[in-house]
Amino acid sequence: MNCKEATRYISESMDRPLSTGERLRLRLHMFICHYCSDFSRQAAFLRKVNQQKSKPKP
Amino acid sequence: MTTPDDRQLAEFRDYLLRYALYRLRDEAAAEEAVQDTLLAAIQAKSGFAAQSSIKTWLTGILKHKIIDAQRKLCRDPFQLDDKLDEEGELSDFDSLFDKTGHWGSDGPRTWANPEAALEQQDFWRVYEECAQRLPKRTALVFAMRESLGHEIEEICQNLDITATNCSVLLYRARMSLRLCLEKNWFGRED
Repeated sequence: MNCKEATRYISESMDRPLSTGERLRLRLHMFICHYCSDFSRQAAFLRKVNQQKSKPKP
Repeated sequence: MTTPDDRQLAEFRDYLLRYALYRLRDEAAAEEAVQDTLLAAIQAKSGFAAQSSIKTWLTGILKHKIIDAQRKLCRDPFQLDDKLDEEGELSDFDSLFDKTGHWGSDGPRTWANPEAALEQQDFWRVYEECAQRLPKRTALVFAMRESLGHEIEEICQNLDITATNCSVLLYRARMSLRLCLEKNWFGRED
């Protein structure tokens, strides 16, 4: 798995459960790739931004 | 039991407009959805159950109007400014990766304390600017997923697109927003 594929899987993992094989390969990749680990944290942060933003305001 | 009068309904207009705009990412469509909501509310005041607040009741009506508007937006041929390829191949971000598909010199950096950004008004302004740059359909799908928390199946069904299309649009939104925030907020030297 390269980074381009890993970013696709990271994005997809936020929208559907990955298969066991996909999950393992992604974890292995992230274990050795700090770029993709950062990417994953940042994608999760984007979700947080949107959840906070959509909280009803007075 | 009291029913709301027209003036009370109008008081919530700004709130409803913000609510719709955030979900539709299109001003004209949001205006229309809010107008339809207020119109429906005026016609159906008796449907208002006093145990829920006027705001909750109006928001409930608006939610339905928003779904209609989302469908309309997604089918409008003038809105199809973002191309969709069925295979889900994405070349838009190729420049970020090297020949072997690994991050090039411009790979993601570690963001220092992103949580703190949520407290800063300037951050929200930058985020909004980044979000505005997304193509309309990408922005719509991203908002449905991340703000409204819809499942993919629901989005596909509502917008009549395939799951692959949906995942391509979401990937594109995440890649673009991440890059934009890194350039304009987290990468700042101060």
